[in-house]
Amino acid sequence: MSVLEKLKPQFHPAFPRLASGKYVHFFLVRHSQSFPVFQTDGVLNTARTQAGLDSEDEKSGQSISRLVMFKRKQVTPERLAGRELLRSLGLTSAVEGEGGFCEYNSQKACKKCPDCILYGFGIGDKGSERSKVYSDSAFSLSPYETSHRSFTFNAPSENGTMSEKGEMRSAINNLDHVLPEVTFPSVETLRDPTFEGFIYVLGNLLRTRRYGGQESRTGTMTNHIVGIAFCDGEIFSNLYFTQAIYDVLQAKGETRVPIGNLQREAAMVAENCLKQEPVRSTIIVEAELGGLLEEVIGVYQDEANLRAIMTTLYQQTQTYSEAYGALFPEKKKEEKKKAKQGSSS
Amino acid sequence: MILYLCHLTLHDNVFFASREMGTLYETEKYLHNWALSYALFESTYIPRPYRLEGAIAQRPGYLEPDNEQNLLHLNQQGIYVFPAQPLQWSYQVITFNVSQAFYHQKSRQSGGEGGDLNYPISYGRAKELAVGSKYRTYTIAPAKTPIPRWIRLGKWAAKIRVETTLIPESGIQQASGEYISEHPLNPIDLPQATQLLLYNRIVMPPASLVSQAKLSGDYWEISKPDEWTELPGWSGLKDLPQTICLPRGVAYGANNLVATP
Repeated sequence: MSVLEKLKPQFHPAFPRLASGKYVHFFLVRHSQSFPVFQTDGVLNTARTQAGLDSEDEKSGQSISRLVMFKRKQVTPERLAGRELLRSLGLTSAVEGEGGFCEYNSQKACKKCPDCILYGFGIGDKGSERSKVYSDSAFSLSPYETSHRSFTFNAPSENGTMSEKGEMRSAINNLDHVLPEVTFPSVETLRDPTFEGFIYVLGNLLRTRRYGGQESRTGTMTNHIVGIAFCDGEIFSNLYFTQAIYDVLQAKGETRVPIGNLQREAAMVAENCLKQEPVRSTIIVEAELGGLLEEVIGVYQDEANLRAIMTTLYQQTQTYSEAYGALFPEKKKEEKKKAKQGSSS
Repeated sequence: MILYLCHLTLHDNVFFASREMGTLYETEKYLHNWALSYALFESTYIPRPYRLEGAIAQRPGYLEPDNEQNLLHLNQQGIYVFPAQPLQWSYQVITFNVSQAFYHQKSRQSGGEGGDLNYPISYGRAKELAVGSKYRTYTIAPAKTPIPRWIRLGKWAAKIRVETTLIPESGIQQASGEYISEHPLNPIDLPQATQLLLYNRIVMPPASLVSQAKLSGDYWEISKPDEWTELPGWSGLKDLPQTICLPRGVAYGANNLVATP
């Protein structure tokens, strides 16, 4: 039996109205491949944190600055990647008036597509959907000082020079960038999913390749999934996960390790930390995880299969929306109208 | 009475719009007990619907029985969470924006020209409580109530670590009369017989809190025994203050519910 088949009973058959205790936690190591920029106020986002978990230990207890990848800088590109997929399959549309029209972050959210239902929306008194995907700000494993560099960038004129007709152009500036191979250990949580919803969110994690500002030029990152846990509650934070990995690496006397080794260490740390949490859990790591990811990647490579799964997901979110959501009062009104017409004619 | 000492550590920035000044949104350093109650017991004791529609999406009904997500569920269970006192805190000011999928859409003030939106403009600066801030609070709950180790709090659903320790009953005494509570309190949740004599007001929505209050009424006096380090059950309570007084008979909306039949 395939890993996915085996996991199916863990999911809801339909999206529930009330939140329940079903949590899927994805353990990932976000790894920069080029020079991403995570800033909100002209400088890279940083935070002062304890290096590891043990405040008594000299190395672990020291306070260091870490780069921060705010939660919305993680979820937004993932949502957009998912929306792109839904559009490419013709399930939603960006053109107003067409069936399945849905506009991101606006009053014109369709309130029924997988993106609206899984990641949530809020449109004033027209209703809101709480997100089923939770993230947490991610902190770099290595300190800020060794993880960034300032670069000057310019905008040359058409002939490739900085001067035009004898006048210097002023389009020159410099900006701090995150270096390649900086890692951000993360836990992303999905609550109350259906099987198809799980495939969708996991796919978004695997398919999103660019994060942060300037994303069309730089900002490539890879999400290495090191474990998936099915739990009945919330578990440790990204900061805790990062600090625990820091301690393990310190104990071994290695601070910069290749990503392959880091993935193995992170998987072990996730497994050990999970054992200390007061929740029931099943964790998928190593060979089983490899099998699962292979199957999910297989789904995304096979158009017929992908289309079938995403169409089912769309039907689930639409049914949910009709039963509990924004479409519910409209439908009722229509029925009333029909009943009225029926009685008057 | 079963009383727990709860220690909270922020693992992400916590943001609430306690005060709004133009485009600056500031978070109060105290954590409101109603917010903590939802964070700790939502989906175990308080139903948490995913979809909110119409008026209820706009106006919270903390103490209204008609509202599905009210705090009265916790009164029935005998659970009460006090507001949290900051022990160590810092702030971080962060600019946020809500960019549109079409790259850029000019943000509009609510109610402004062409503004039929009733949510605020789509950018601003948030003064958030920073990672690493530490809080202390107390929770009354029956035995075996599951108190989670991790909760999510605030507008951005920030992760917070909760460390809970039971306070041995031998350290809790009943008393009546005038007393000073060093711990912040929510005046709406005080029993009607308790009177607030003197206090500092902590102005924050949805209901302002009071701190360093002098009250009169029934209370619990919690004190550490002199040789507490050697007594069983006390070893984990290093951070408990030597003496602390908390009002007796607190419940969500206790002051209001008696007044309205």
